[in-house]
Amino acid sequence: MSRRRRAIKRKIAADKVYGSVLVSKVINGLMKDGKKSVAAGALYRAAEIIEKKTKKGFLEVLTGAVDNIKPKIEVRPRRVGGATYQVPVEVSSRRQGSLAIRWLVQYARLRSEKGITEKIAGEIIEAYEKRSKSVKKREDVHKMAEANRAFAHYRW
Amino acid sequence: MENKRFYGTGRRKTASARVWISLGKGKTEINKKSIEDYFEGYSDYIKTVKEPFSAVNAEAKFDIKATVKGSGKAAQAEALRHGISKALLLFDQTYRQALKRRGFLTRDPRAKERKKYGKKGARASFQWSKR
Repeated sequence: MSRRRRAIKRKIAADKVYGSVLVSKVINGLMKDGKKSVAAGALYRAAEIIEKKTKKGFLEVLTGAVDNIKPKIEVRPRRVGGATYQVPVEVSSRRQGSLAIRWLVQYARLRSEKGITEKIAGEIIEAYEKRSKSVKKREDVHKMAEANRAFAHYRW
Repeated sequence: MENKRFYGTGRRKTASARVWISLGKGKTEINKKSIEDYFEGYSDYIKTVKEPFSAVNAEAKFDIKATVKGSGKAAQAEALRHGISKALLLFDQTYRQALKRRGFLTRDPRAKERKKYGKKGARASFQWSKR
């Protein structure tokens, strides 16, 4: 990070099918080697699968899924007098969203379905129902924070 | 009524678009192809091109004839959008606010930064080992 001034927060354009910034962020998270049209195609096809399976709107399911992955609190290492403590800190809302999308895509890629379309569809549905690996990741992070509660006064 | 044509130049990255619009029914021709053929059905790009018309509530009111060259399809789509916006402005000055607000009249200045000598890229240094 630059020590001179804070970087300005970039706004990204809403996606062209749903008009949603969240959707375009997931597309960007899914993108490899700058191939946005491939990533967008995969997510829109996944949207169809999700709507067929859940009988609900894609935006509703995706928003619910991402909200279920958002961590409220996490631990960050801090050195105090030679020892490093895992200090629990609250997560800013912007970082919550970034982490949620990152984990969603990361655990989708680890799934056993064939093809990224099925993988991301499955992960979003399971996250919406709070039983995906990415939701479990959030619980793990919360547990870490709770376990290190004693160091909370080192907050900076 | 005489059907006049209005011209606008649009650019983005190294893409350059020449756009002529005239009153019509929304027929769009890019480099002698229909817009669907030219962008091979990628609806994102087609929507990008047509955004100025939705900004001024004039969908399917104009025919477009355009040539565009240089750069990739995404930048070409935005160059077309830029050109169409400028042509629309010639047609009707009152569109200015609606177009300006959505940034369609601004030439997007972002472009690839040149590589510098003594560096591996525009900013990145060569790998360095102490000995």
